[in-house]
Amino acid sequence: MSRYLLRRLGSAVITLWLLATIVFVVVSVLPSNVGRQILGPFAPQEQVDALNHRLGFDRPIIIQYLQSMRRVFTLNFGESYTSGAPVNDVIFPALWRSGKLALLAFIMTIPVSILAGIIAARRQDKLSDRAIVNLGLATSSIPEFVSAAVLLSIFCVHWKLGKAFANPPDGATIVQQLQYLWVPALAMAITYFGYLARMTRAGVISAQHSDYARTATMKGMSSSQVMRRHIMRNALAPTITVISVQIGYLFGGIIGVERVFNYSGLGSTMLIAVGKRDIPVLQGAVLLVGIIYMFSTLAADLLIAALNPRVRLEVSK
Amino acid sequence: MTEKLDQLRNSVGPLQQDVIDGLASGSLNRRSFLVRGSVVGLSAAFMGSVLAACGSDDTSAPATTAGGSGDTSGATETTAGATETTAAAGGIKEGGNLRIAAQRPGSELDPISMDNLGSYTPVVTAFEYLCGPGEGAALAPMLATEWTPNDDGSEWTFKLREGVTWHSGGAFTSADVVATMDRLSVEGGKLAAYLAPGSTTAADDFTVTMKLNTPDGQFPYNVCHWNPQTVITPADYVAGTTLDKRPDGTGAFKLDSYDAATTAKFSRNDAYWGGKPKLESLEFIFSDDIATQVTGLQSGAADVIVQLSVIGGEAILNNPEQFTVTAIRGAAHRQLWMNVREGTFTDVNVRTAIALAFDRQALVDTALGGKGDVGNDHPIAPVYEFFDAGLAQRERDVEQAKSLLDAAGKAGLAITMHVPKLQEIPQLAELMQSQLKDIGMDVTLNVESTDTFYDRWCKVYDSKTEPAGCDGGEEFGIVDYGNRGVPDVYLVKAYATGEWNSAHYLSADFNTAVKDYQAALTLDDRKEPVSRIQKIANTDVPYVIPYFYNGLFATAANVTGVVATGLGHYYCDKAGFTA
Amino acid sequence: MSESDQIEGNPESMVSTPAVDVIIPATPPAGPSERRAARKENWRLIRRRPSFIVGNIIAIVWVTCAILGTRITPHDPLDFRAKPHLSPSSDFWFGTDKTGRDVLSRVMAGARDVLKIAPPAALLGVLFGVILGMLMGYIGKRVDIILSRIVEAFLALPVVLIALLAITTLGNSSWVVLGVVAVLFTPVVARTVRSAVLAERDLDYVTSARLRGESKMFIMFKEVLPNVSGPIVVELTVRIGYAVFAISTLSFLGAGPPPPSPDWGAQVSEGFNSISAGIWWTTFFPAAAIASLVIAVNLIADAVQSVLEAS
Repeated sequence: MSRYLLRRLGSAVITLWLLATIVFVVVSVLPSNVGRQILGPFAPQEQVDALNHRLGFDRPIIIQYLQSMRRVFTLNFGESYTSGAPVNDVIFPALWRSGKLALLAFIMTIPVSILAGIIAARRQDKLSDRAIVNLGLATSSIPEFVSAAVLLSIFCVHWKLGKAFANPPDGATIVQQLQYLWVPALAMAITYFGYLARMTRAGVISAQHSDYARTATMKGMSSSQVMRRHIMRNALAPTITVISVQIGYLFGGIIGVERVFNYSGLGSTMLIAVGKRDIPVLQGAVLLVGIIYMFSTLAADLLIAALNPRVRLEVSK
Repeated sequence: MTEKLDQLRNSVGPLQQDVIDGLASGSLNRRSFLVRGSVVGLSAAFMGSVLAACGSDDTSAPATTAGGSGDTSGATETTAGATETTAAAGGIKEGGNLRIAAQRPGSELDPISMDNLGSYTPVVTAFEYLCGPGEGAALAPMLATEWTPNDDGSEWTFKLREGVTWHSGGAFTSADVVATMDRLSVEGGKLAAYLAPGSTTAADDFTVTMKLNTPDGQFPYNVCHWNPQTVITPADYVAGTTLDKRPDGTGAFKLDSYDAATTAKFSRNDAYWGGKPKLESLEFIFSDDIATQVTGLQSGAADVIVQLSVIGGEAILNNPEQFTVTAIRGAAHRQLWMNVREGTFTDVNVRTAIALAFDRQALVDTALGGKGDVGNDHPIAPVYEFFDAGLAQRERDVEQAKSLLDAAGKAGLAITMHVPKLQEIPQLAELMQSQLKDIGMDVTLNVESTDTFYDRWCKVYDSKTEPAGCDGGEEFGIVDYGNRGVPDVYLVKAYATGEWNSAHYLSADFNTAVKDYQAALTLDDRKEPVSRIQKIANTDVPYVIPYFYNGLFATAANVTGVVATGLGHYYCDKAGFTA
Repeated sequence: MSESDQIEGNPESMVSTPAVDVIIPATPPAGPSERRAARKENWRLIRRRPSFIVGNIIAIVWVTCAILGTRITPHDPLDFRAKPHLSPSSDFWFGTDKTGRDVLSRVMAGARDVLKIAPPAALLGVLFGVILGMLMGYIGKRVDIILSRIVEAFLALPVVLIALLAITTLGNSSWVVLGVVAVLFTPVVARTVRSAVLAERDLDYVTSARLRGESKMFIMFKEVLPNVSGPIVVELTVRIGYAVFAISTLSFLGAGPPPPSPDWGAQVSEGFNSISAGIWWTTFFPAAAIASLVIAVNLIADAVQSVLEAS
């Protein structure tokens, strides 16, 4: 087990290194003049050159690469090109905000969608199953920025039950923060309901049809016993995997929702960084999302293994 | 001329006398008199006496904004410059936190090198100018209480306000002003064109004199809110220090906390020279687009937004019970540039054809919902007193446009128009594209975020190579110009080889006219060169100016007294919530 | 089919068990003719599924709009102008937008912007993904280790942002959007294909082909590929839905085709803050168009998937 963990962590480090390299390559390949960009069109060329020198952009690409990697592995990404603040002061508060929103969205969506998935599977092809499957299909087909905009109009503008600017004020209590966060979290939850419910349903159905479930039923166990002891453990594996992958996505990818609610999570931080070509911030934020992704998928694998003894943990070949 | 008027006239210098004469002769109306008088340093009380002596039926000092004459959309209208939401006299509650949805700072909060509205806002809330916004385009005393020019406008003396203290505790004196002016007059500084280092001197703790490089009858416009980087900073202030590193200033509110991602928070300055503000605190909530600002105001998450556009602002404009919208009629405009030096538009026939393609009234009606003035291909807005209405308005003429294009051998011209994603500009571009189709042109739009757009407009400015100009910009596109009390910025920077000259326009005649205009010390003297400027610009058409738009500024109905300029300033010392 | 295909072929196919290989019970090999017959039977079953029929009807409506474009729109989607913000009426079924254009015409014409990019992008992504996945799964060893790490790194990237970065720098032409979406889909597909290939690699028919002395290429593309075509077909349909989604999101964020293009995502982005002013039609109809196209594609994908899984 510990050997497995070590190898997984080792491969995670390699993946992160590759991730950092991809970001570096993308940024270097794209044409840009960082000094000019920071100082604007009216700055004299000498100042631009001086800044490029200070930032190291006049050095050979290999040196730039090594410097970039040093920043990555010391988790010290330098200073933001636009605000001049240390990158960590920009990305960690954003990470914290994203985390809160993602957590709330999961709390809202996971129990409901797993329950819906199980109900649908147990009543396969009946009316309630169709209803759940089609609802799931519909909700996961609506882009999240659309559901966010609609929920904003209904709950924040019309009924004033939520806040159109979702950043909670400093020092807000948990209850107050919920007031700010529940509408954007709901928008995210709606999008994920479909995925998770359908995934759970598929998992349960296939487990129901499996040999071990059949054997257990034949041994005379009651159907609820079979469900608890055998089916659920196996059936949830794909659901858990989806959740783990989505954690990374929730942290970095829900730009539409963050934008509609003017929320300063990692997504909008990266969006602004892309717009302003604020490479240090972009690099830091992307790696942060990568790290979260690695850890959540690792945790999911461990959880699946703990639930299902048939799964053998091994580092992929 | 009455004896009383004579007496008043004789107590002031020639530049000030000229303004009084303008009123007496009728060439200046009451409103223009108050604006021009404020620029040359006549006090409100003095102008009140002059008006009384001239037999004006309204003897009050500058009136507050006339409110309430709301048109169908619920917007009230004021003229050029800063505006104040209609004050409900005496009904302001003590305390409260005012939340203003503002543009996100695009750079560090550096008072000297800041270059975008988002960064201006927190900086100019803490720091103040010598002259501040008055009624319309007028100037009002801020850190200077009085200013007077010498006879030829080459030297200006500012009397400073006594008893002002910095947020950090020290007293504000002439040393602070001298140091600030010197910082701004180094090469490349925002006042380098007007002052040399050392040309600002202090006679005593509260009097400074500035010796200008060339005479200028309207110099105070350069040390006021229209030139945002001229905020007065402490004497020992080191260039490059940002506001959040050294939170100081003389303003009505002091910076408590700043987070570029979310908010800037200010608390009231109890020792403010203008009196303790009613509001307890002020919060700027940063947001990236007008859509979130509109929903923020609607939902009660913000109390104030500026730069509302008619398109996208329907929810606010259609709801006059809940929101007060003020339309600021001014000189703010959009400019369609065409590179006259190289490429497609070197032939004036092509540029004229394009100018003739536009149905400007239709553009105003659709893109602005009617809230603007039709433009006539020069940057002199109808609101300026020296505007020459005699120049014929260019009207749409599809046939002539087509024949001009034909004559230039550019029939069926296909070209890309570069457009920033800013307020109504994308819609304007779409409308222009449709109208240009009628003269046979095939225009492709490239609409970009403002983060990258300005590279298309002017990528690098080269001041060393003659003639100076923008390099690397595109040849055709639309750019935004904010409101200014005088057109100097447009004339110098956009037309006369300045750093915003994306058309690469260079005309000796035009530049002479601009020089004549700037050297003119009196209003009458300005009229002739301005008329020339209008004609030359209109004939050469380096830029099409489709319209001058009204700045729209919205507050929740229970907010009053906020003074906004459209250049990132929100003066809230008199603002508050109504009971 | 086996349990792992449940995982691999699910609608959220960014998903697969990252480094855990579920032990897969071997299925008996099938001869080539049997396989062909089975595929024929599958196709017959697929065509009969109601979700396939409904999905296709919706999709055909949009494809028709995309192909015929302005020939069937009631007004010119770009240049026709009535009064701005007219609510839906018998003259303008979907109302007019902020500059007075007919929303119905724009929604119909907007199908072209999506459909000329989404399916080719998905196809290209699947093509690259299949090649990569086959190499990883079949050749294995070092190739697999190295490619797996790279794929893993790509999966950890925030996709939309990287796309935005590329588009803002390289320009927002259709080709750039198409290429970027394809490249970003490649690793996801590669992973699915790799897992499917791993399950096949040690089956008897592969072993016997190897013993016959067939080349690696031949075995990969002639023997293994037909047997993993199920997950690939599912992946392709699912990816088209995702491409529609991704393209709309990019347009919403301002990196879509330039105005006045009637792109759906751009229409939603321009109109959404007017919803609260009661102007819902400028957002609702393009949003419904996106959703209906994604639903159509997903219905088709569902039908394909459930038949292939049952067999």
